[in-house]
Amino acid sequence: MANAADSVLTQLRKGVLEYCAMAYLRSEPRYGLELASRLGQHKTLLDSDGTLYPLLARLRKANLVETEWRESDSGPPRRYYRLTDQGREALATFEATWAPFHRDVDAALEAAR
Amino acid sequence: MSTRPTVGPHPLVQAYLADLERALVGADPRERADVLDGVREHLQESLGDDGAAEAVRVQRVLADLGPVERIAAQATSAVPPATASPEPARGDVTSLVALVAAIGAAAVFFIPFVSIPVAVAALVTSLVHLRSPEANRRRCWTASAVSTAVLVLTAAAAVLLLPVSTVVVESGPVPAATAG
Repeated sequence: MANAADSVLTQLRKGVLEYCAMAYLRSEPRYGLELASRLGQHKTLLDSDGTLYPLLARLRKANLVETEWRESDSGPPRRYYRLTDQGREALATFEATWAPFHRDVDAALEAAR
Repeated sequence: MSTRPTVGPHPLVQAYLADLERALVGADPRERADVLDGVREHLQESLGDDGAAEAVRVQRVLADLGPVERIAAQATSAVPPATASPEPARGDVTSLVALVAAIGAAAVFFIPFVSIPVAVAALVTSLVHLRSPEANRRRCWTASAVSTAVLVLTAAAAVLLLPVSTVVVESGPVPAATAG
């Protein structure tokens, strides 16, 4: 049962988690550990911190996020991830699509009871 | 830039990063570099450069990061799936040369001065080429297996034949000495 649930979660995360990460970058740039901590609060989204970094690398390659270095008070400079204009546009498109999709999935599950 | 003195990361961290680097060998090079940098910074941020950090704390941070294989599985392969053929790299010349060299070394097995260097070259070429995403992996592994077999058999033959040749050399002068 646990394996089946994991399998469903893995499929659902694809194509969704990247927008959740982008959503956390909408208000301000964040560094990796900070972003991992915030996403990690939602256990169904990020089951291991390390998987965030391939996702960020893909977003960067797709020019949806960019990086910049900032000085830190507590150690070496940190790499911050910032949403690009293209990333904001992609996030807005996802949000506009997600709401009716989410509603329809709920409705279908409810109707099939 | 930071002027904080560093003592290097904990050995467990070093081993984890080395494993991750290996696991990402087939990944897109730019993503690979980004992932390694991101994970390295995550570890540095979590643990600092404290090489003497408590093993329990290091293990907890590494467990939170997850297995390197899981991270690598999320990275984009260097070979796009849409263009990857079921029989990849059929035209891969390097692996073909390595395989031909390995078979050639096997053919001239009884001439060790030729077979050993050729087998070594085939083995090194095939193993190094395995790291390339364009490599025909089956051909590379076959070349590695054949050249390794040649080297092992040559070593075994040397072990068996050397005592015989030593006896022949040692026994050669004896009749001459007694004849005089």
